[in-house]
Amino acid sequence: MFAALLRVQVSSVLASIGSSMRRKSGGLDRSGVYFLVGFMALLFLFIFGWTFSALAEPFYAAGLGWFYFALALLCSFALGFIGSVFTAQNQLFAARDNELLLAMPIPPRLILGSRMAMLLVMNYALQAAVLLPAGLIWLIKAQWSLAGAAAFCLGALFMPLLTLCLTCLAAWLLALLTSRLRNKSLVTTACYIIFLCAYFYFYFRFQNLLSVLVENGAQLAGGLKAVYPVYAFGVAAAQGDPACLLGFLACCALPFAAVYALISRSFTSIATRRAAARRAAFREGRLRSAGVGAALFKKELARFGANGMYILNASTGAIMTLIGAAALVIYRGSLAAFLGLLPEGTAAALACLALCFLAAMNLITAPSISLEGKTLWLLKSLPVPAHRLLFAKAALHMAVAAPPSLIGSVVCCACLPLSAPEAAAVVLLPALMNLFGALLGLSVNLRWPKFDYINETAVIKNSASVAITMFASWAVLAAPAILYGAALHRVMPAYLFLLVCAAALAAACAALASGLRRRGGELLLEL
Amino acid sequence: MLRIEHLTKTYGGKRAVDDLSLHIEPGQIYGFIGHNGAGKTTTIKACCGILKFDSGEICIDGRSVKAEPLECKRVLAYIPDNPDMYDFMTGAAYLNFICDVFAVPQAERRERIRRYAGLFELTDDLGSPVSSYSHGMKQKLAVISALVHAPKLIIMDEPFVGLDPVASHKLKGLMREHCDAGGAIFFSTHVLEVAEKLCDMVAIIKSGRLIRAGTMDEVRGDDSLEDVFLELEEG
Repeated sequence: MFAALLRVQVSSVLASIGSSMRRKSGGLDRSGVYFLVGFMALLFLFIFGWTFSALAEPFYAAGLGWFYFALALLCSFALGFIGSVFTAQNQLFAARDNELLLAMPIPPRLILGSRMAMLLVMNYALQAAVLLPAGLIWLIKAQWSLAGAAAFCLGALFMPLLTLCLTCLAAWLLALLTSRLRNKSLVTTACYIIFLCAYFYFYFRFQNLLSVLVENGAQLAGGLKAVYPVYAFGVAAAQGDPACLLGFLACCALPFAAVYALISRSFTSIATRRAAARRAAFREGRLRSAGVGAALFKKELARFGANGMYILNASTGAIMTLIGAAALVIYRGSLAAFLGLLPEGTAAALACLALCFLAAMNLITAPSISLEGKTLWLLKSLPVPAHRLLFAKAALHMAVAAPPSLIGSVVCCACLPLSAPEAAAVVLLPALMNLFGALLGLSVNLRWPKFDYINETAVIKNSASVAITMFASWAVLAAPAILYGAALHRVMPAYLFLLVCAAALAAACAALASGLRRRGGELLLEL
Repeated sequence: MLRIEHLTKTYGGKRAVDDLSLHIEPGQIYGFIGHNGAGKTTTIKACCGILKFDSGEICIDGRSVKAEPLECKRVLAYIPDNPDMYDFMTGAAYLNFICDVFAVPQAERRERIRRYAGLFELTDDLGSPVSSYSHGMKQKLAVISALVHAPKLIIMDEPFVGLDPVASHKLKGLMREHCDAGGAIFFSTHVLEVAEKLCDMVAIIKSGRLIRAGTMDEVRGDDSLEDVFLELEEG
């Protein structure tokens, strides 16, 4: 029975890679996702490889090998926890097939177990991105005993159990909380933004933290000894201590078993609990007429605001633009000094590149047609031209993404030494990039929609249309940047090139809009 | 009001609807009967302009669904077999959205919502999100959303599924009222007793082909509709 449930989970994951798309276009979807996964894996391996290579030698020399591994453990835990907590909440408690499976003669603990198994695989992948480079760097830079290496490997195998245990516990609490709240998406969004702020706080202070770690390793190590599992893993991996290894394995396995038992008991009630319904009284006075455009826009806005995962994943660029703008204001002095050393026009080019890159991370339209799901019949049956239905989605994209972009542009213009044409480009290009992303997302999703999802998160985070839109937007960004850096900077100034790019992007937007106007209705009807 | 001429629709190599022709006049309640997978929903979706068809012609109020889909959609209302609506809206917001799209004036929308929601005892729930509705409540909301813009033609796919006996009775009354006022209704059903009592005309479809159509008396003769249907299905 458990194997059958696992097969369902695996096929659900594979389907989330894009079975709707596979029907239409061969294996293109999978390769895109594999590319994305490969790219992210390499990125993480590089970041953590670089970090641990900076730590390995001084710690080895100071005899603080255990502290090195303890830090690796903490990093991998943080990555695994942050990377999987929201997915855990959706996978465990908000899956659309929960009620279907619970109606079958399957013990709820097995349903929970099969879902946790998939999360465990996810945790292995995330934590390998930290532990793999940490182990390899230590192997290269220090003399590592065989017992230590074996203990590290065994500990690494058990470690995701501890992360999963805490992830599931947090997801359980989040599910309990949100099942009693009216504004579920608001709570999820707030939690995510807190996570994001914490992440950026550490990111911006990373260099400092690294220096502090290297300089005060011995002092900090003393403090960390108090956290037994971390200390035990460090000692086991560095020295091959069997008692510490056993202690660490117990610290991973026992809490996991306890949490599994705890959640199993309340799984049915949480998974089947309806969200607290707003029993608000109906007021006739609220029935106000509006035009078709306004009605469609309001509908899109309501759709967007109803799912925290949609808000978070689809408007990451907008959130990061605002954080970046704040950082630019704070660090404008040092940044201006740095940019002053670079050739003329570089500041404008970098600002455009950064703002456009962030604009390309706004992916509101890319899953929007897939998210219509079972209500697609409604969209098709309305007496409204298809392009107006589609443009309402693009309008929402612009309403969410354009203001932060504009704020970012204005901050860049205020903080960086830009000429008038450069400032024009810095305002114009990100706005056009947002429009391009909105129209491209619609065009791609119309061709490669996905309706066979169990959880909306699969569409929002993993669907082929989202990956294609993001990578295509980045490619559109990278191609002229490389071209200018390699050759064109010799023949035209940066501002002129940026304005030419803006004109080209405007033309691309016009072409996409025209394509949606001409073919959008037909494609929508074919879905 | 609704003219279907030689409608053919294939999925892959299989003909879901094969050369089907039907004429529905104003004032008629037209029942559409067939076994599961006979082609009822495909025909209905094609009539509503939400499914492309291979050949034939469908005209609503004298306009071609192929050539003038928006004009056709403006005068019809469609209730699908599974009333999936926007879960993220409240019932009132959903009805208001439909009224906005169909440009129903404010005074009329308030009056109609008041009337139909009151009739189906849904007024107190209109402030709640659709996600909190039961299947029956969603079905009632779908019916109200169909009536609220006063369409000429109502096309319904299994409209009685999920409705309680009181709501079913009220819906039947509204259907008759709509047709008496010059409108037309085309609906599919598996409940043959309902079709027999309610419909002026009936069509039976089998494996995509129309096998019997006409007034209720013509189709059933001296037998019950159930007997006729079973006989035709076995034949």
